[in-house]
Amino acid sequence: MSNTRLLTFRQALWFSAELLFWVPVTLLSLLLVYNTLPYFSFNPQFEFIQERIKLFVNPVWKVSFYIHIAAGVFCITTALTQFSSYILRKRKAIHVYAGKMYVFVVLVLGAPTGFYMAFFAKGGYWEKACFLFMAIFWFMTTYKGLTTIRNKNVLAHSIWMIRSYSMALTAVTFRVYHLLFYYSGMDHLDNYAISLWISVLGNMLVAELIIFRKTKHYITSLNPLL
Amino acid sequence: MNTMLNISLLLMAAMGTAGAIDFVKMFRSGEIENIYTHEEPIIEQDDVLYAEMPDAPPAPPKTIIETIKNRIAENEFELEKFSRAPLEFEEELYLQEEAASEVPEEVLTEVALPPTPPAAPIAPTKPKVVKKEVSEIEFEPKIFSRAYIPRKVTYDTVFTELPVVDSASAWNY
Repeated sequence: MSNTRLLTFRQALWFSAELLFWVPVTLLSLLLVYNTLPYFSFNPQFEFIQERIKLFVNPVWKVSFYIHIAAGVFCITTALTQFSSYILRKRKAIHVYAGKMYVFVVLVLGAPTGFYMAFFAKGGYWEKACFLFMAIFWFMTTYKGLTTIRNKNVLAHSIWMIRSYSMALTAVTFRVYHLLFYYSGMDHLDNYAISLWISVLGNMLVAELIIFRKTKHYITSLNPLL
Repeated sequence: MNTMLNISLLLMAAMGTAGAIDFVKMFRSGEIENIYTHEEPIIEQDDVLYAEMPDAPPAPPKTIIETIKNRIAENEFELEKFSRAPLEFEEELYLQEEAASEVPEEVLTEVALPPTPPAAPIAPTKPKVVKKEVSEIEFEPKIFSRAYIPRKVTYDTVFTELPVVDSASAWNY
């Protein structure tokens, strides 16, 4: 009886934790998508574009920019459905089609354009290097996620896709940190650099923690001494 | 699926190469340092910020002679003012340094004319002291100097132009 109660309590706790994670992530992702939509008026009068007006005259950068933000909108929205165990069990077709769309968008559109734009990213050379790393890591993890599921390795697929999503989600977490540091009165460029590094490293750390928790039982089953 | 993977790898390589080439081009030309507009502050001529920087005028006259000629042409100076011999280089340098060291005062006053007296005789009103913004300071070239200094509006200059106000009472004001 007490065991059942403990189990129920643990389940409730886990469910609350998931809710605390997914509700803000979903809302902030949708807010990001909503804020991105005005850019498709192709009007260069936005502050973000005006700041990069010297890059905007370069047609390759301009096309890359619009493809990248369109890819971002697709990635963020399709990825939201991918981690739902309900959809995975009951509506597997949604998972498959949304997954294929995510992979296509990342590998063909999002990562290559992001890779090009990373060379001209805001900040110093370290920030440029960070963006380059993000583009390569995003591409590589998504690529591995696709190849592992083609080999029917579901666990490896889920691990690589968690890593891939953690990179996609840096767009959201970066803005959260940026806003927080802005209200704390930090200098603009320092704020930009710190928010970037924290969002990338923080997301990677959270992803690895989730992966560790997810694979703990599997690793223990392989090596009972652990 | 394999085609898509190959295409994506090719795209990644192509975009990476294009980015690297463009980056090297911009790096060599030095453009990479100021591709973002916030990295090069723009000061407009009518900006208040500009008014606070007497060392950086918009278009200083090319030569002193030219300045004098212009001023005479505009009938702003009397010829007697230019009767002295041209300054030596050290003197000119000293004047420039002196001009540069002069920072515009933040409080400049101007005496406004009292309102037109009504028909009935009333007690004289005190002149109103109006604050002038730093941006309102006129810049004019100092004679024999290339540096621009702000022309300060003092009580004396104002009162000589406004004979209505008694200068003695204004000093006490």
